[in-house]
Amino acid sequence: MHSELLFGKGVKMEIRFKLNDRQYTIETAPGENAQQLLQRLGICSVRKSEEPSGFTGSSIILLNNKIVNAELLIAAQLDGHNIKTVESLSKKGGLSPVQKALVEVGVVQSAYNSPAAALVITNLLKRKPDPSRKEIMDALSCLFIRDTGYEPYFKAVEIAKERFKDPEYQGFIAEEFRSDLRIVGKNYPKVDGPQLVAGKRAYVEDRIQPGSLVLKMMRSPYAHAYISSIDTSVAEKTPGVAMIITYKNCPDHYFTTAGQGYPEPSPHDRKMFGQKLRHVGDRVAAVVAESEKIAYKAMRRIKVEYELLPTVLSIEEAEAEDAPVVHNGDIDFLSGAPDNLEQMKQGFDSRDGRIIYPFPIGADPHKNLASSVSNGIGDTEKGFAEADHIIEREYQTSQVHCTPLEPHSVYTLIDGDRLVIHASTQVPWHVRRNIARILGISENRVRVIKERVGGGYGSKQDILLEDVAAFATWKTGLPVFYQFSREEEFIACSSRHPMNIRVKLGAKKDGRLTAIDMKVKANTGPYGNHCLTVPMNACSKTLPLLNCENMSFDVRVFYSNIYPTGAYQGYGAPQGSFALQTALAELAVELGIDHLELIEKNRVGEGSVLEILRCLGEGQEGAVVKLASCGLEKALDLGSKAFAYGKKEESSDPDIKIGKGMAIVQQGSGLPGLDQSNARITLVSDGSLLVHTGGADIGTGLDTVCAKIAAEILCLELEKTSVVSGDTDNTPFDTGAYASSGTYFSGNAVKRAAEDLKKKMLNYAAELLAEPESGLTLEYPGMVKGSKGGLSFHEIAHKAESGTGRGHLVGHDSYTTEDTAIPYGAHFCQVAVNTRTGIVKVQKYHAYMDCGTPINPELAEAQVYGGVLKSIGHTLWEEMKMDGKGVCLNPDLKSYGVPMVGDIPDDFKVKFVQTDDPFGPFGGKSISEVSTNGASCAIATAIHDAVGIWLRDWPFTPEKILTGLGKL
Amino acid sequence: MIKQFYKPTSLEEALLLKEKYENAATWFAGGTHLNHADYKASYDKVISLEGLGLHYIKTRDNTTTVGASVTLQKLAGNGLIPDALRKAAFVGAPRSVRNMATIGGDIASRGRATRLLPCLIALNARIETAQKKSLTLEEYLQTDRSELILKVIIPLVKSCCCVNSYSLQSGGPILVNAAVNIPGPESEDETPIIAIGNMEESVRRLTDIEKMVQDNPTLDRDALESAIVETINPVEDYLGSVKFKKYITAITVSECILSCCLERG
Repeated sequence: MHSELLFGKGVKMEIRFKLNDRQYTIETAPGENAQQLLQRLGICSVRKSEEPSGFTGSSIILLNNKIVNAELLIAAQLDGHNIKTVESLSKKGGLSPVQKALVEVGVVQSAYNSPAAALVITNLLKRKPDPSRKEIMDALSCLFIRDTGYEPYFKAVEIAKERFKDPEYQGFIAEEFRSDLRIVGKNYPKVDGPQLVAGKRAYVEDRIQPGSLVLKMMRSPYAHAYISSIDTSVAEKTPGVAMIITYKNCPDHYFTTAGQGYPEPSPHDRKMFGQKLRHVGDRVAAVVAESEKIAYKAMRRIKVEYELLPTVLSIEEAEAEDAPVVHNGDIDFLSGAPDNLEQMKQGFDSRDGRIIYPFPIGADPHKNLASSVSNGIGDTEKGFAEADHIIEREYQTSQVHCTPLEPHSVYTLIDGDRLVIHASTQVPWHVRRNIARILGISENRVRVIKERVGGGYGSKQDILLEDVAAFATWKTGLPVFYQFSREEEFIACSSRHPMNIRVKLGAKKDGRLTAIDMKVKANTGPYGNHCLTVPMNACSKTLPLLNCENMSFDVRVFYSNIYPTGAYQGYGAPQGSFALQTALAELAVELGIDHLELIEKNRVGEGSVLEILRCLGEGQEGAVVKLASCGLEKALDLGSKAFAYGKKEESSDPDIKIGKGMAIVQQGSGLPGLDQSNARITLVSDGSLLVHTGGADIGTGLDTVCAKIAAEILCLELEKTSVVSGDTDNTPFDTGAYASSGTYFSGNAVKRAAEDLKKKMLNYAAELLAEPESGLTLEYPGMVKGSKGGLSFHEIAHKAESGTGRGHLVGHDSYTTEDTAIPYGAHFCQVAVNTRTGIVKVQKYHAYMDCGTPINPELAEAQVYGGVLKSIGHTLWEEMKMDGKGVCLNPDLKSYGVPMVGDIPDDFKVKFVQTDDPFGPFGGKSISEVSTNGASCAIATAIHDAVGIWLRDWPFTPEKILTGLGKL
Repeated sequence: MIKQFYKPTSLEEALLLKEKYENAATWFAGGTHLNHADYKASYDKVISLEGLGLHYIKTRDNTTTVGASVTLQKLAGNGLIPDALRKAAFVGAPRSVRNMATIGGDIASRGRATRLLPCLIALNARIETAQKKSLTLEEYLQTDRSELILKVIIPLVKSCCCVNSYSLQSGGPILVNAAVNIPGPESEDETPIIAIGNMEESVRRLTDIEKMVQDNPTLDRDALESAIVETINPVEDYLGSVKFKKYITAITVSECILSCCLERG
């Protein structure tokens, strides 16, 4: 039969294929993307995380038992073939051995690619029942994994492989902690793991109802310009267009995108749309339409004229005397207006809008100064005068990107007279506050539901698209979906602030520090979200690692026309750590003493008084801390032995030079004095538990932390403890998932709520048993025991809810604190520098981490792998490259340079050094951010050890290495 | 936007369709190029090669014949294929892409991202088109784009052929993709072939370097690298400066040449 007859001449064709053993015959446009077609058929596990390229693997399917990328297929290519998706693995709702193994080893975290990983590994084990490491790497080469650093996948393959032979096989998952506890510190599957690895509906995009509108953003082609005219009249008449939003019809409300506690330290320096455009990709107009196609068609009909302005890209350009002004608007303060406010405002241009400061942050926006702060302890001048040796070095860091696999997404709809926002966010309550204010409505009319988050890493602490979708829904009354493209992820999302950091160290001959001075200059880009707090963290998460009586810092942050910056895992600490720790290594070399010895002489330990924290509060006075737990001593001991640190290694290849490096790191556990978490735990009718927490689990396992803590305290099985979280209607307030606050704040709130419920249960049981409360105890599983008898939780709940009962039993509490629990770590690495190619291979990387008690050991371990590999990526490959006009040259994941499985160290290891912190829940401290702080300095030091050159600007590209070696 | 998808079951049928629609229709193999976000051209009509039976690999009379629809994965895993080509098929493409991309598609893409072309040129491979033309790869690159590739014919490798590539990281773009063929002692009448891809706009042979290798049996690495630096013309982009690109091309190609010489003995 002639194909033309078979497939027709029109835009529709009929195709037949088998999908997960079911025969389909459907009519489709032949060019329809296969990933979109499968989504249309209800297969939500086949996802899109980038425009079709085959790089990320999110759309992986089996086509005739071969792994392929659905995004690179068109519908017509499916005709006549056999297609399988992850749904084929879950027989009768259960998980396959591979899926179970992935959950068990803790890699199902943000999980956007977990279904794809399950398919890839299943396919591998069918082809190669006993695969080598090389074969596993080849299979995994089609997956981009950002959260867990690939290494734990090898363990998952090993376990799954054995399970195919012996379904009862129990492999080693991760070291467990606290033998005195039943659930905390033990490996239990993440509570949402099965749902995510099975590819069930979980993310914002899975909530879209038929008939919803889509929103597409017209973005600025220029880095710095005014809109001199904009005409949307023709575009608005395009059939299917519901609304077009520009600076002319958007709410006149200034805000910051930073999701921080109110009042935010970030300036309110933007509206939904402005007449001034401050970066390539800044918002020009939003088109809300019935389909993407219509939205783009309408967008092409919008007429815009621009008045171009000179651009400011670097810190040097921004601070120049005659620099173009990025924010030349009117200035106001909600509190603490300076005496010279009128002078600061002079010459403002109304087209620039306004800047409103909740409180002073040392800004002078008409000089491009977004914020500044300087302070210190002791007398650094005196300290330098006392030094035998002084070094002064400058370090630079580039703009690197969070790259969550799930693009920023929001779905908004009206329910009655209320606005419902399904968000992929780290900060549901800040979203609610911000959106209510932007729309001019009270917060009770807004509900934010945090869906599962397919990767945030800080970038979803900013409210980047919720405002415009919410406004569109509020105005039209219709549901609206808005999701960033991968290019928008790069050009319109937050990223790590580029910084220039000057470090001056004074030391005695024996290496003891007499003075430290850090001068940080940061580039905040077009807006000031996080402009004070991220650059301050370059000092506040690095200086307190050292005992030195004289320390000073100066932080100055500048506006420019680069792409937006903001929060990113580590939050300024990776940049500061790179500078300070590398400077210490340089000092050791100059003094001729062992690097490790210099660190040991100057590092803090248990009992150290961290005086410097007094002047490092976030927009307020900080508190001096006496260090209650610190695992640095053991971490350094383990690392130095494992690496034979100081011993020179040689390669048999004369072009290869081997070197070793290390760094010590710290972070925080939330923001004492600023953060707050609340929790409520209900004893359900049958004696099980329902935990309501405001904490936003962004894939890291916070829900599992909360479930484990509640189950531990209340002596119940984890399976009988469920968690509802991150829903502003149904869970209590929480400041959100940032600043490494989850385990410490949300975990402590749950702990307190569980203790409250325990008290109430014992009190009621005492009445029921007619025994004194003091004689009663909770006993596993789910019993109250007294001297005369006992009651099950079911019996207590049933009695409480009866016609003569007290009412159902609920424990609740909140957690605020001034106490600090600091996680620490020592990172060691060994690199091989190829002096001919300039390529640096990280041969060995060990992270020895003190997060107190790891509540979820396997999840924590996988997170450290993820954090370390991200920072290896930033150190060696990743960088947003711009031309002289501020246009990003590499806005896709492959060009940008994210690490893939082939880039991981040959010997990659995470080991926890347990400490018992008195303030953390069961001694737990934070983990995920701290792991990003060590790679750049450890690798810089190792490169110097190998080839004798210091690289002081990341990424350490082969071109920089070769230049340093005099080869170019 | 593809509006019509033709899946002919015979070559005659395919050619009739092409004749009918001329440049409005394009040949369609695995789809990794045409469906890629970077592919900017747009076609209303595509003619699939899937039903034409071009999935074979055969060896006969000192040649290996590879059907145009053979995937990179099949190529990489087939013992009949010369090692250098198997290695080239493996580099820079994850398994999921290797399962889709075809040898014919790779050749026909003629783009900077080719994985196989330098190696096929170095192997003296020829292609046969539907118009019954037998062309070298270099000749093909100068032909009209609509020529349908049916098969790739690879002569028995009597010489030493090596490939080498350079990328900044495992999944990153390939900066330079080099292939070198140095004739063995038993094939003295042949000349060296050195081809590079990815570094410049198109794949090409480094004829000056070939001559240098032929004329100087005892090669000096520094002289070779200096000569290569002089002969290539890369452009600066986000991956690096011109100076860097010249340097890494020189070391990548010279490494390949020296490996070949070493293997040849």
